[in-house]
Amino acid sequence: MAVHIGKSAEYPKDTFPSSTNIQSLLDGGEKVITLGAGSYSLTTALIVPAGVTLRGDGTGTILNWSSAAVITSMVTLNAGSKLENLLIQRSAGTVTNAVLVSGASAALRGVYFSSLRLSVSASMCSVSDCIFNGASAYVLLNSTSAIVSRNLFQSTQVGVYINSANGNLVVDNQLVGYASANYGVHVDGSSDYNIVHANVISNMQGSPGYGVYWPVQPGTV
Amino acid sequence: MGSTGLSNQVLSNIFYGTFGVPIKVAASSACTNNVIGNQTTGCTPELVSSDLGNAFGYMNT
Repeated sequence: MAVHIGKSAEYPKDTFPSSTNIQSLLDGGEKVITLGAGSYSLTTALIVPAGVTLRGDGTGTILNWSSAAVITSMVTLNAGSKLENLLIQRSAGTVTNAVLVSGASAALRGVYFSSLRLSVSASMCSVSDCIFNGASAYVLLNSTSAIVSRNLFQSTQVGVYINSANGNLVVDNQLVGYASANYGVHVDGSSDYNIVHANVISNMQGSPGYGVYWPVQPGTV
Repeated sequence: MGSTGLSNQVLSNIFYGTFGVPIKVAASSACTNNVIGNQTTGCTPELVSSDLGNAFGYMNT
C-alpha cells in the first residue's frame, strides 16, 4: 500500500495542504509515502521508520526546516528505509544534519541537499544520484561499507569526508569546488581500505585545496 | 585502529582545474591510473605513494 499527498499530474485532485503531518503518515503503517509538488514546512524532526520509503513524485517537493529551533537532524532514516527525489533546505534555525542515516542498508537517491549535510552512521548504506550544493553541503561517513556513487558536489568546501571509517566506496562522482574549497575527498588517517575510484574532481582552490587528501598510513592513528 | 592488511586505493580519477595539491595519500596506499591535468597556478602534485600509471597533463606551476 502507498499514500500520495498533494497535487500532481498523476494525482490532480489531491488537495492535502503542504502543512500535512508527514510524521503521522510515516507512522501509519504504509510502506511508501509520496509527496507531490510544494514546500513542506518542518518544525519537528522526521523519523522514517524501518523499511519505509519517503519520496517526492518528481514535480518539485521541498522539505524545509522553518523553525527557529536548533535541530540535530531534520530527517533520520532507520534500517532499510529510503529517501528519494526531493530537495532539503533550511529557511530558519540551525540544522546540523539534513539527514542522519542511523539504520543499516538505508538508501538515498535523487535528494538535493541545499547547503546542508548528510551524515551516515550505519553500515551498508547507499547515496546515489544526489546533489550537494553549497559550502556546507557534504557527505560525512562515520560508517562502514557505504557506497557513494553518481552524485554531484557543487561549490562545496568538502565533498566527502570519511571519518575513521572502513570499507567505503566513493565511485563515479563529480566534485566541483570553488575558491574556498578545501577538499574533494578527505579521508581521516585512521580509515582503512576505502576506495576512491573514477571520480572527476576539479577546482579545489582553497587552503590547502586538495583533490584527494589521505596522508596518514592506515593503522597508525 | 589496526590495519586490515588491505590497501586504501585512489584509482582512475580525473583531476582538472586549479588545486593547492591534487592528491596527497599515504605511502601504503595504492594511487594508480589517475589523470591529473590542465592545472593552472600554484599546483604541486604531491603523490606520496606507489604512484603507478598516473598521467600528468599540462601544468603551469
